[in-house]
Amino acid sequence: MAAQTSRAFVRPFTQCLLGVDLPGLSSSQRDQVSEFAVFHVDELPSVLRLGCNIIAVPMRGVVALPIGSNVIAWLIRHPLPLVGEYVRMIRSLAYTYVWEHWPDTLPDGSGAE
Amino acid sequence: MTVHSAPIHSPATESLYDAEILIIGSGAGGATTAALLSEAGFDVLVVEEGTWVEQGSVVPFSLDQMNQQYRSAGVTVALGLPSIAYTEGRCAGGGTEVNSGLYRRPPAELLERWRTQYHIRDLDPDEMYAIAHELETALNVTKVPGKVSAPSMVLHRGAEALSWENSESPRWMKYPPGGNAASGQRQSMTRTYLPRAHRAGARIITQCRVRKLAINGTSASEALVVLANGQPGRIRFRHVFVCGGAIHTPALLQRSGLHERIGDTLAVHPTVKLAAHFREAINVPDDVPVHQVKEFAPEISFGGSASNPGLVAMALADNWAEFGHAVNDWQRVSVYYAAITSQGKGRVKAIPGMRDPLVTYHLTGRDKQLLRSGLSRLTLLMLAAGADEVYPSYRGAPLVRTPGDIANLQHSFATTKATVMTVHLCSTVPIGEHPRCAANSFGQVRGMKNVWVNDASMLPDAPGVNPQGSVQAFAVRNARRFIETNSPRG
Repeated sequence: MAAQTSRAFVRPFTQCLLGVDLPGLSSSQRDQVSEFAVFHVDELPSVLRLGCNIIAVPMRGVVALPIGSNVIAWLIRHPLPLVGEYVRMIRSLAYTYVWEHWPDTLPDGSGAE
Repeated sequence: MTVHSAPIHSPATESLYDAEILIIGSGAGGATTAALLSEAGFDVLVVEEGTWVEQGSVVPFSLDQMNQQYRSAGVTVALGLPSIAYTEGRCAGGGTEVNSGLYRRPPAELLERWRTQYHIRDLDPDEMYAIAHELETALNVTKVPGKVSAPSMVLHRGAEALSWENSESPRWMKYPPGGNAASGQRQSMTRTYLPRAHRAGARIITQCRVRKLAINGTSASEALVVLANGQPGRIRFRHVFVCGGAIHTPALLQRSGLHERIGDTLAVHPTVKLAAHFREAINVPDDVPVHQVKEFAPEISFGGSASNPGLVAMALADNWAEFGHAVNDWQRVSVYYAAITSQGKGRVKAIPGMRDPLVTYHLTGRDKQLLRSGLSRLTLLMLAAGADEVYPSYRGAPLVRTPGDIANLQHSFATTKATVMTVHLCSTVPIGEHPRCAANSFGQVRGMKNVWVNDASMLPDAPGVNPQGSVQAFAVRNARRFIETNSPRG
């Protein structure tokens, strides 16, 4: 159940965030990174996982908006309490994964695959 | 004493185990306790929640290692303002399989402070140093033969340029004849104390999670566990040593109905980080520097972190637009930390219905000031070592190229913008006779006849140095006291 929640809500958010943050990543790379983020959210300690999924639900709504990417870009620059921690955690996981797996990736996400 | 020829470990499959001594956790405290008690003739069963991962089968400090050997795949957080990210080993050998391997004896002044402040009975520095010597022999604590790594030399070079006290920290490593910094083999618990316990007859089972202890009055009689196949099981025992680490030892005791002063005094060494760029290649992706800078110790210490490309990217992520370009030159970048001795306090609280506890930590104003000061001085250290660009890890940090830029850093730094982390957690079941202590001077949990703690949770507060040496020294001391006052069941 928890895993399904993460997949349904964390994955689209991660995809959107990567589109804003590392637009040069290929779609297959984005898929891999998103799966990695979902895995990590599922592995979080109970209380954190619950909190993360609570934040992930409205954030899923945000990314579905036509201006979802703009909102994510704004959130990256202007971290809000709690929501900012969620954004930061997903970004940290994503960056770690991308450069561990494809260390020649350029800062915009392009050039490695 | 039975000498086992069976495999050293096996997954937990039996629905019922019996043991004279149950040891929960196989890290620095649990493995050491297991070896001493089994060698004294006790029937010992060690249970470990994680799996047994052979050294060399995963790349050190990689995501693969995080997935296999860290609790929650390496992402755990103590909530607060700011929250503090921390990591814990969850595998046979515990944190000793994944940490830096650096070794420090507990300082004499620390032992004296703990003795007087926490009223630890019979805490004799001479005895502790005799134990430390034994440990150093058993773990082969030694310095790197020949040249240390380039990122380690950065710390040394910068400190020397500033006339700051620095030294190479020894590690528990074995080097082959003619070996160098890259050829050491960690003398972690799966290489040392766990095989020693096994040789003396201890049984070691993995993938066994202890849910709670069944307690009747002042005695615990059995542990209720989840086996490797997910089925419930039970372990009956005469004595139990809880050695699950500073987070999960108090959480288990609380789930078992023991609450008095347990989990209320979490202590950590908070750290802030930066990445530094040099003109020459310095990055060593799968190891950490061995030099530490102790000019401002114990309040502030500097050292080096794991710096594979992924971790370099993470260190730059808070200011990606300004710092991101450095990731493509990661071979010339390494990550360093400033650690402080915090006066803040945290709590570990088991939540009914939740598998994991809630962990919180609150830095004091003094702590926040020390972190600011630590990051500024660490930046200066990097510049003195020859860094041409320094990237402090917090949102809005300036790119630092000259000492004059450090004023901008001091002005803009706030802990709420920083990625504050720690790997040293302790003191959630502190020992001593003082009323604030949750266990007596030898780790016996207050009010219980047969429940003991013997891991990082027992340290009275954060030691200000790498805690593994202190944890093992106290574990040996307490195990020996147990052996003196209890006899093996014939």
